[in-house]
Amino acid sequence: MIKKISAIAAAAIMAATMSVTAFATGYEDAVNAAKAAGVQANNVQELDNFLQAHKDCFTSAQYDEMIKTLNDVRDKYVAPYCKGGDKQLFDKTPAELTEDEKVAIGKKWTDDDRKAISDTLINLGKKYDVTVTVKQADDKIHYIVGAEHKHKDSSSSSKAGGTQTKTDNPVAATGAEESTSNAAAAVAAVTLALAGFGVAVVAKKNRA
Amino acid sequence: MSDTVSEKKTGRHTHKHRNSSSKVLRTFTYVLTPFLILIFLCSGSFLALYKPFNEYKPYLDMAFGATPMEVRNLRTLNKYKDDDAPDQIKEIEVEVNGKQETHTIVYPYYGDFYATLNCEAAGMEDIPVYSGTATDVLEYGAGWYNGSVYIGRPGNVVIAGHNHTDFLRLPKCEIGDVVTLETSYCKCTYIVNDRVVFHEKDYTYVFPTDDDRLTMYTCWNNGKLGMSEYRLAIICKLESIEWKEVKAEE
Repeated sequence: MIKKISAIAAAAIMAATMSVTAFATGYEDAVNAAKAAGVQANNVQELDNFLQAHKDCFTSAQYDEMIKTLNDVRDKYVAPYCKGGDKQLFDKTPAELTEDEKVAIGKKWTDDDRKAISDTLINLGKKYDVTVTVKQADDKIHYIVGAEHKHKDSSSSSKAGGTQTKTDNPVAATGAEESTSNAAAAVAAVTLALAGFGVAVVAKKNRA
Repeated sequence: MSDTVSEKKTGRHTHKHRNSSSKVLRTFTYVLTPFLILIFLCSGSFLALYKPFNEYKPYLDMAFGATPMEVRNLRTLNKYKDDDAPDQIKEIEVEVNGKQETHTIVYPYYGDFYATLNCEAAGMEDIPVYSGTATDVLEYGAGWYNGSVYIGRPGNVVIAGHNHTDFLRLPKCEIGDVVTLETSYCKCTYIVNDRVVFHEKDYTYVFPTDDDRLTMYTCWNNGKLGMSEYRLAIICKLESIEWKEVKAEE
C-alpha cells in the first residue's frame, strides 16, 4: 500500500514538474506579448534580436515580469484607442493593428505618455542588468530601442559584455561621410598653419 | 686701349644688366613667392571647406583610401564590446522543407565582423559585412542593420554600404543576379528580384517582412557619388541556406 502511495506521489510530482517545464515562459512568449501589445514591428524585431542572443540570461519568472510590463503598457497606452476603449480610434484589438494604425495611436500620446513608456522600459532593463536606450528615429514617427547586457558568467570583474542591438537609425547615411567636413577643416587648418610658418621663415631670411 | 675700355664698358654694362634682372628675380622669389604659395594654399583650404567638397571627396577616397591590409587590421577593433565578452553561440530550431532541424548560430556583437557578401555579376567580391550601421562601422565595410533579422533567420536581412566604397557597384546588380552572404554559421544564396529607389525617411524596405529576403541599399544620386536623401535598394529573394557546423572556441 505504502509502495502504491509513493508511486502515485512520485508520478504526481513528475507530472507537475513536466507541466511546469511545458509552460515555462521563454523569450518567444515575451516577443509574442510585444506583438500582441501593438508594439511597432521594428521594435518587436529589436526585442527578438536581443532576447534570442540572451535567451539563457533570464529566468522564466523574469520573462513573466517582462510580459506583465508589456501588458500594462498595452492596457494603459494602446487599448484605450482600440476596440471597446474610451478613446476608440480603430475597431480592432491591439494585436490586430496595422503599422500605420500604430503610428496614428502613437501620435495621440502626449510627451508625458512617451516619457512614461520609455522610463518603464528603461527601469525594467535596470532590474536585469540591461541598459536600455530609447531614441526617436529621423522620421520623428518611429522609435529605436537599443539594449546592452553585461554577462554575469564572465571571468572579469567588469562582467564583460557588449551590445547586440544599438539605436541605429533604420536607414543609414551611406553617401560620403558626414565626418568628411571635419577632416577637411582639419586639413585646411594644418595647411594654413604651415603656410603661415613658411611665410614667417622666408621673411626672416629676407631680412637677414 | 680703347678696345679694353670698350670691353670694360660692355662688361660693366653686362654686369649691370645681370644685377638688375637678378634683383627682380630675387624680389619675386623672396617676396612674391611666399604670398603666391599662401594664396594657393588658402584657395585649397577654402575649397576643402566649401560644401561641394563632399561631392569629390569620395573620388579622392577611392584613389587614396585605406589599403586592404589596413582594413584587415581595423577589423579586430571593436569599441562596442569588451575584449573578454563571451561568444554568443546558441542552438536554434529551423524549419527546412517542413521538417524541424537544429542548427547553431553565432550572434554578432555590435561592430563585429559578421559576414562576407558576393555578387559576381556586379563585380562585388568579398565585401566585408559588420554588425551595425553606425558611421564608424560603415567605414570598415558594409553594415548589417541590427533592427533586421539575423542572417539565416526568417524575414528581412538588411545591409547598408557606402556608395563610394563597398557598395560602389551595387547599382550594377541586375534582376536575376546571384548574391551570396556567408557567415561563420551559414551561407545564404539569394537571387535579385527587385530594384527600388526610396526616400531615407521611408522605412518600408528596411522594416520586417513576411517573406525571407535580403535588402541591400546605398545612397542614390542618379549615378553620382556623395550624400543623398534617396537610397537605391536591391531586393533579393532567398534561394537556399547551407548551415555549417560551428565549434565553440576554447
